[in-house]
Amino acid sequence: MTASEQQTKGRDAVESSARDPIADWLAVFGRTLAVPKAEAREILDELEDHLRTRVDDLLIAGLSEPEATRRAVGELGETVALAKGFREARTHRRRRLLMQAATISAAAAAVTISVWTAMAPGAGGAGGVAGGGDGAAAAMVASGRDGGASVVAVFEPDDAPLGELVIDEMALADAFELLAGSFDRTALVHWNELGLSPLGYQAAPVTLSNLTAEEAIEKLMSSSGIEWLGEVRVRMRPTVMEVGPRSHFDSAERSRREYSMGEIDLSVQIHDRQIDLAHRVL
Amino acid sequence: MPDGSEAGMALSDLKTDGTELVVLSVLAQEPQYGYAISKHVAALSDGAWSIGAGQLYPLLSKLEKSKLVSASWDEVKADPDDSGGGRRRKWYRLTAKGKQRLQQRIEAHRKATAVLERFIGGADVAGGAA
Repeated sequence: MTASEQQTKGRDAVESSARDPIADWLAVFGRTLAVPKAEAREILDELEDHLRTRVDDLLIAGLSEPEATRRAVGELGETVALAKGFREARTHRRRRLLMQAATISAAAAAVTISVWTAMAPGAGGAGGVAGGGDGAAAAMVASGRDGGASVVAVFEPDDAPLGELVIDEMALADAFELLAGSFDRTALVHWNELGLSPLGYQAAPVTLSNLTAEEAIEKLMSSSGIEWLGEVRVRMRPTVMEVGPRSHFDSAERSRREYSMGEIDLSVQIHDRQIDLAHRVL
Repeated sequence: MPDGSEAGMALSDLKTDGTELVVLSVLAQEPQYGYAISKHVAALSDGAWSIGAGQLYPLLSKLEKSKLVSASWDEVKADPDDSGGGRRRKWYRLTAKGKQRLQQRIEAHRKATAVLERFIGGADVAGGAA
């Protein structure tokens, strides 16, 4: 569904309901939000208070109730843009730290070197694959010219299973983006390798709950009647949810080299334009 | 030659910073909820500065996550005599970290204004190059 269609849908909800147009608008907006459930509840409660207080003010100013409601909802702007604003606010700190690390790294070595560190012995795994879970904190490290490294930012792991995400009828690419947003990431989909087109497929309405990202994508595709003969894999990187066929990640895996340095295992993996370094303290 | 994106980003940052400065200043006076903040800003600037809800709430969310403000909820009843449940209202208050950030922002703003003043204070607009 396009942004304007989404907005039209929100407006229709306001205009068509004889019951509670604000509650209907919030229900529509809630589906576009794609943030964890508890946080979505808080955002919707806050917006409900805003809308109802604004409507009260407009009624005092002499507007009719339908007109006041339309005006109050209209002032919030497009639902898609508003939802995006909240998602960006969630990821703002993470992105800022990544930008700092990337800037320092680029200045030092002309490449971005990111390091995922397993803080606890045996936790997570040393691979250049972020999202190992198991309590592993991820750390971003910038390399120096002399090969030394310094930690400039630390991230908490954020790869819990999806709470609940309701997908309306929309382009499959938009559905992937919503799903990635619910994990605080943007979607990077290897469409060609999956043999799919980003614009050629529509997602069918489906509710995804208590699933891993891989399971959610499998369900999304199967419920939309998309048959893909293979295994879809998902890799959670610090800001990106990468989706592709198993073969893609297998070949990336082949580029990985591992080294042992005393009490530290070091792993080096080359992506398209980025080198991932991972180390595990034994 | 820049493609314009650099200038666009700088302008965007300036607006964001300005809005953040205004919101933090409002919260430095007393705890407020979102709608009250937007009304306060509009009233104090005689309508010259308005912060739309689409900008305000994500900003408040960002400030909360950065621990510059803290939030708490209370209940609002549509009718004070109504014993039924009302809706929730989220109140924001400035934290110690927020006060520190506000102080830094104010100092940076004053320095920038003082530098600008050196230029515009001596400008002869009426005379100019004819």
